[in-house]
Parts: sequence; structure tokens; C-alpha cells
Amino acid sequence: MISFAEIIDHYLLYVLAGLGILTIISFCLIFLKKSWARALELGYTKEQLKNVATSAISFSIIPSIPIVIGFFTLAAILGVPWPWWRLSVVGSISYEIMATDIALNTAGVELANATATDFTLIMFVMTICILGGLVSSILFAEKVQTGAMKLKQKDSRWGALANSTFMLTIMTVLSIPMLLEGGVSLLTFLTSLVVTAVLAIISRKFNWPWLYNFIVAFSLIISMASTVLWTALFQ
Amino acid sequence: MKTKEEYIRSMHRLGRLQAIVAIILMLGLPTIVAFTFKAFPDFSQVFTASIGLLAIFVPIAISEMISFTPILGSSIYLTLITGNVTNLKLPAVTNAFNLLNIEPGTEEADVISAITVSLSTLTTLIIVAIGVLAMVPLKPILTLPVVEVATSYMLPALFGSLMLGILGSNIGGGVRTKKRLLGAVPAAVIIIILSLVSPQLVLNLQGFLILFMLPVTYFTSKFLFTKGIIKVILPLDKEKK
Repeated sequence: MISFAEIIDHYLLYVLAGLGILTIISFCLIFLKKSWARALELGYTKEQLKNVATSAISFSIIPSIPIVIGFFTLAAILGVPWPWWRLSVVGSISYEIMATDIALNTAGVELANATATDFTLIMFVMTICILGGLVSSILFAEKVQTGAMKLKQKDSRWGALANSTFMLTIMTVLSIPMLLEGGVSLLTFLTSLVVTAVLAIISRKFNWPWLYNFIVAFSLIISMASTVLWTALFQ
Repeated sequence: MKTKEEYIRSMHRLGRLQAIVAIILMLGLPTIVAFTFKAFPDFSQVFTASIGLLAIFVPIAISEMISFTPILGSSIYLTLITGNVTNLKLPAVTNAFNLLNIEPGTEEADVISAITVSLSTLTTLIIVAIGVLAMVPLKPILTLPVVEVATSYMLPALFGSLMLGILGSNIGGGVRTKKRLLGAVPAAVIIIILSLVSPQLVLNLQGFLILFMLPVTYFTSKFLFTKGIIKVILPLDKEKK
């Protein structure tokens, strides 16, 4: 039987991962085409949509880098193609490592002695355990969205406020632990907030609308760079 | 031109189809590999290893789907296929809403969210592909201690920038509010107390906490709105004046 080291970097896995990723790319392109056409029908100008596109792309570059770092970590354990596939779909580095660990413990083997069957066990465990959100979305997402939209139709004032409570709740739950952590986390948060405010003022004062599309991307880079200073301060 | 309902329904149909194909692909990969190399794992081992993770991740995943769908709309499927919700998709969509002054829960929000999620996903796929292809030269740079420290504080950097839009009175579509943040006070107090008692627990259960805090913020806002404490000013009100 094929060994663990051979199977994790086998060309078949590269082919399958490559085909899988191409399928996901085609999903994105179909979704983009349909929504872009609808946006034009709704009266958005090409200029406005280009601004949204520029902002979405520039914004997504920096937060994608930790995923690449996660890939390097996972590739050292599980080869290149499988981590590439996992981190291109729903996986996250902490979840994948946890799933690998649990699968190997269940099989009662160490990574050094793992077999090809242990690798397929890892593959199945990683895949199955993260499907809950996707399955539930197939069953319920349309009902959830139309329910939220009906709020708006019943009473436009309360509907607008009610729909804003979702984002407010998410930001409350996610931000408070960062602020309470204090130290570098708090200072990075504040740096980002201040940089965003300053860039927004500059964009308005000098009438640079192009800058507006890059505010979050720039403040992300500047505040992440500031962590070097804050870390030195707290050491 | 399709009506709003027809468009939303068609996007959900497409999303569901993509989600089903994605599930088949995700399960198909290990199945093909296991068949080809005659390396099928013991079913009982798959079950034993999965049960604990399923107990944790299924309720979290369902909580996230319920909480994020009202914001992401029909792009929830693509979001859940490709992951990275709170660190990428949700902030990117919030940013796009701020840029075009979009009100969440509308058809416009659904459309802009779909454009943003598609492009954000494509960007991530390209960056990861570059990482794979340039693994040898990139690895030493991206694993520098300075870069590792900077990326470990990415979430505060992201949320700090987005907080300005959240704190503002404008909730999109020209709708302005007064004292809206009071609606989040009870949820904030609960999260502060829980964070002080067990910060790790709060981090581990964020998915659940969002779901449990949603009705708290929702009904507090509704109560304060009914009492006239939170006020909502529609664009039409300004025109009337």
C-alpha cells in the first residue's frame, strides 16, 4: 500500500484539488455576473460598482495573508494539495489542526507512523465536521433572509433599525473581548480607528474620492505595522 | 426585469445548487482518494473522531448561519463554502455597505454583498495560490516573527477600522438614527461580565454568543424604539421638512 508521505503529495490529489478550486472559482464568477447585472438594473453606475470592486479586492489582500501562513503550517504536516484545498474552502488552520489531532488520536497513531488510511481518515473527519453551516444554509437560509426582509416591509422605521441590530450585535460580541484584552490588542484597535478617521477626513478635505475606496485596506496595513511598536512597548 | 422577490429567489436557488455541488466535491475528494489507493478508513473510526467535533461545530455553524444571513443575504452560501466569515467576508461587506450607503436587509444589500463576497473570495483564492506556487521564497518572509505578530493582531486592526461606521448614526440608505447604540448596552454588559469571568470561554463560544445576544439587542432596541428613546429618521422626513 502507498505510504503516508507518498499519498499526501500524490499527483491525483493535485488534480482533484485543482479541479475543486476551479469549480469554486466558477461559482464566484457566476455569482458575480448575476449580481453585477442586477446592480446595473437597480440603477448603480459602473463607476460605483468599480469602486466597490476595487475596495473589496484591496481590502481582502491583507486578511488573506494569515491563510497563506496557515497553509505553510499545515503543508508541513499534510503535504501541499490537501491543505491548499481545505484552506481554499471552508477550513481554518486552527480547525484543521484540531481535526488532524483528533483523527490521529482516534486511530491511535503518531504522525511519524501514520499510514495512507490514517490520511484518508483525517480527510473525512476534516470534511464532515465543518459541513453543518452549509447543510443548514441549504435548508433555512432563504427563510431567514425573507423573514428579515419582511420586517422592513411591515414598518420601514422599525425595519431599518431591526436590520441594523444584527451587525451591531456581531460587532459587540466580537469587539468587546479585543478591547478588554488591553495592551497590544487595544492599541491596535485604537490605531486602526484613528487612522480610518484621519484618512476619511483627508479624503473629504482634499476631495480625493479614490482614497475612500482604500481607507480600510490602508488602515489595516498601518495598524498591523503599528503592532511592532506596541509589542516593543509592552515587552 | 425580475421583481425583487424573483431575483432573491433565483439567487437562493443558485446558492443552494452551489452549496450542494460544494458538499459533493468536499466529500468526493477523500472518497476518490480512498477508493483509488484502497485506503478506506474504518467507518467506526470516522464516527468516533467526528462526533466530538460535530457536537461543537454543528451548533456554532447553525448559529452563524442564522446571525449572518440577514446581513449577507443570498451570498451566505458562497460565504459558507469558502469560510473566513468574521475575518474577511463580513468586514468586506460592511465596508462595501458604508461605501455605497446601503441599508442592510434590502435587495440592494443582497446585490452588493454578492459582488463583494465573490470578489473577496476570488482575491483570497489567488493569494493562497500565489502562496502555494511561491512557497519556497515566501515562507521565510511570512514566517518572520514581525509578520507573525502583525497578523496575530489582524482582527483588532480590522474591527477598529469598521467600528467608526458602526458607531455612526447613519445605518445606510440615508436612514439616520438617534441613540441606537443604547440597544446594544445589555448585550455589551453581558459580554463584558462573561469576558471578565472567562475570556477563553467567550472566544470559544463566539458563534453561540452572537445568536444568544441577537434577541437581547433586538428586543431592547424594539422596547427603546417603542418608548420613543431610539429615533429613526428616514430620508423622506428630511424632504418633508
